Amino acid sequence: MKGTLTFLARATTPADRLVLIAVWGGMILLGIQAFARPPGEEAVVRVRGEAVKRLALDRPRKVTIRGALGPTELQIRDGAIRFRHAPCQRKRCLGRGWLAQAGETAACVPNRVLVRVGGEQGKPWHAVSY
Amino acid sequence: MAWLAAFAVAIHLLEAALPPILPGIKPGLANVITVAALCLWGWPTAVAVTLLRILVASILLGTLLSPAFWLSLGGGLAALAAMGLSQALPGRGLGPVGYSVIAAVAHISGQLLVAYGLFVHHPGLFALLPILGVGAAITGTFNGLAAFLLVREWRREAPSEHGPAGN
Repeated sequence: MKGTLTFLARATTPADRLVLIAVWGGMILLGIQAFARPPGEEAVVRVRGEAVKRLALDRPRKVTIRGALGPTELQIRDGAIRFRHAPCQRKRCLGRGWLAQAGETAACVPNRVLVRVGGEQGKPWHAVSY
Repeated sequence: MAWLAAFAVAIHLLEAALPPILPGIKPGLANVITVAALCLWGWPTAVAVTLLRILVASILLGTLLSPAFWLSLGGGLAALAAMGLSQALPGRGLGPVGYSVIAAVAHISGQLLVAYGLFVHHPGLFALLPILGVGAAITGTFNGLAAFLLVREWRREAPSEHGPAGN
């Protein structure tokens, strides 16, 4: 440890040390800022293709939407949203589970209700290739 | 100088063959040569070595004029510009470590700008900045230390006359 420090001290000039502090500090700040941001800030609810509600995902609550078949309950918790009750027959929308990432979508087709996380611009990556 | 460029090309190729530790981040070891050239023979040599390296390595890898080539060139030019500017700083100036870190940060900035301008017109690209930036700080520091050792070694071998490259 001490050897490493002496080596570092000998290998750098004062200006080097300034640059090191500035760059490392800046990058760590950037990193913290990036990871502190909550994922999937809001969800858009559409009924018959029309956006009827924008729901922020930051506080837990239950929201009831009037779908084509009747009242439909959505639940929001921990930055995620799901269908909780729906008046449809197959309940596929409930089976979709929690949606948290921008771009995730659940639909209750007979009820004509669509929930999509991340707003209109929230496009997820389908793949990342380098 | 040809000798230096050949060295840098070899490192560049070797690095391309290595599996990436994390996608998108590679150590940029060839920059060790650029930094050493900058410290021992000045900025023009560093520019020549880097441009030769990018050109020759891309021919050998078969990526000439492909996206990878433009990204490499954008990063390289940004790094060279930043090193040239920081050489003009007053005082005792920077050593290999400082140049290397500055070059690493400039490299990712240049690369992101090229990527944004030429390929991905999507501001989401800049979400990569923190990850790449932390990578640049780490690799820049270690490459700088490597360059410091290299500079010390070469200074010892060729005390005054014309350096090991014979230029």
